[in-house]
Amino acid sequence: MTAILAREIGESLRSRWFLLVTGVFCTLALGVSYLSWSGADALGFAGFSRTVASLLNLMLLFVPLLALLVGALGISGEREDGTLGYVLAQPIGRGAVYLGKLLGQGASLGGAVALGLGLVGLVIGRQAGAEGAGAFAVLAVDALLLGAASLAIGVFVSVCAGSRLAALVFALVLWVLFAFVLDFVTVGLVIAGWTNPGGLFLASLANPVACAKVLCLLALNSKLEVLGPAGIHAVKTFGSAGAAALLAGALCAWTVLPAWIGWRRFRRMDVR
Amino acid sequence: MPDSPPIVVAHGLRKAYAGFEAVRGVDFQCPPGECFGFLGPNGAGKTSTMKTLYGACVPTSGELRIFGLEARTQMRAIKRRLGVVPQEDNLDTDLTVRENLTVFARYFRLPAAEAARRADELLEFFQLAEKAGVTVEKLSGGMKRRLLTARALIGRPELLILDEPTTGLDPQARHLLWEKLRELRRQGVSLLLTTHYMDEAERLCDRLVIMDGGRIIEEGNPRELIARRIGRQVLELDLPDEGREERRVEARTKALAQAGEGVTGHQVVGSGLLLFTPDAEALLHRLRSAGVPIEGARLRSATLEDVFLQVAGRRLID
Repeated sequence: MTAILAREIGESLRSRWFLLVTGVFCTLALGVSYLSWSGADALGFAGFSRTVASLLNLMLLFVPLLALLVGALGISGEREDGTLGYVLAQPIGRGAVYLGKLLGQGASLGGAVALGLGLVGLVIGRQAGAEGAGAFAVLAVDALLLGAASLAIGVFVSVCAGSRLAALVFALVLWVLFAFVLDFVTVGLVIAGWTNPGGLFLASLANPVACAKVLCLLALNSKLEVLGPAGIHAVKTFGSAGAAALLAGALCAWTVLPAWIGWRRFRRMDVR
Repeated sequence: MPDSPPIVVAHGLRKAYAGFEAVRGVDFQCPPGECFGFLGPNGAGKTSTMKTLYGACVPTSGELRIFGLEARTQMRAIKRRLGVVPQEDNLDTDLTVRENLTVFARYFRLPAAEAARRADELLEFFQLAEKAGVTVEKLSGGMKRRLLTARALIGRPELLILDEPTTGLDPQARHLLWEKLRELRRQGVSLLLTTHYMDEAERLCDRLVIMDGGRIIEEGNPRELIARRIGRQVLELDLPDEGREERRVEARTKALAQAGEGVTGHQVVGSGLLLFTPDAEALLHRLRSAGVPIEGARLRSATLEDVFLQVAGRRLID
């Protein structure tokens, strides 16, 4: 498996596309952090708390998009250009190939996210001190959890799709669904009069991006009042720690389940 | 090694994809130390059969044993003793020629020093040592095929599987690769290949099967096959090409009637007629004496291509 893992990481490091996207993420993260002070009539790096709120939206859009694409284009692309069949001809079990690819892509993606957020953390720590660093750490862990879930979904798409193009389209559709459509559906339900707070909180568990958002907001505001009745209900029912554990658990489930279903299919997959 | 057990045994091997049966119950055995070939038109089931041999496809049913091991349950152990040269060029273009071999050695858990030694050995063998430090993009088509073959040999396989090894190569590059494959066989490596080229199969294979529509339709040693299906010689006749179809049919019928027992078989190719015979010159003389309208005639030795056209010709796809 280490051979596959090393190969995946090596390919990411040599991929101009991946390096460019990582560069864009780092630049955007630093830019957003720098501009977050502008609301206070000044430009410069604010403290961690203020930066977390600004970075959250960037993270919620960027991380799932990148992870879904990396995951979706991996196996489908290699199947299309004949590399996968060749790798499967080597003395490595299919499980090792699958896990090696998943972990290798995860390590590359985690590295990109860690680099972007690490740079921001370093700069803010030097400029504004360590106050609120806990929330920033939660954002970083949250980004990694969301990245893992999105990557696993992407890999599942990659295994199921008939071609690289189909995998790409399906991944983009899922990203739009998770990042925008499901939020609109929830708002629509509320407007339509469905105001069951427990139901609204559970609905957010059905969307990994919503899970990551609520988890990060919980770190910023332990009472989750920003999420209205659903947030208040969650904290009241499960407690802050319980709600956080539930959300983190949901993100883990979003990682394990697609990866496992993908494996079940990959195990018997033919490479034509 | 005539008394050694076969290196590959397939019995009733089937491979079906969604709604399509690519391999429909094939039986074959590959003796060790020999070159075994799969011939057939596109879609015949050759590549699907090969892919089941190296684990890229899972057989739908049937028995498949390689090195005496059960492919369904012991594929990893089998793959340790296999080398595969794919049809497509999937070398890593970012790496140098040498790195393409050393990186690949990781799959076989070769220590770095041994991998480097093996890579140098293979580059020397395939006459690529001078190109060791250049990136793959700078290699010619023939060099890339040689590097692909070298890469498949990094783990010292007992069986080398080659999927159309010389497709797209110029004659010089083909001959060089053939020579290297013969040398490998002399070193005891068994070869199993698919090819579109009849001359390649005839030169390299000790034994071969012809596949069509997912089935094996003929099997044997190339020379035996030629002798059994065609005979010694072929008389190629050009019959009248102009005028009505009836005239062509009439000329063909007359030629066949006059040829009589002097032919072991025939093949209609466009307006031409191939007659398989032990003595082409005597047959041509007899046909001309009988007044068969012949516009042109060529005498030649029978080849594997004649066998192929005879057994698969009517159903050729490409």
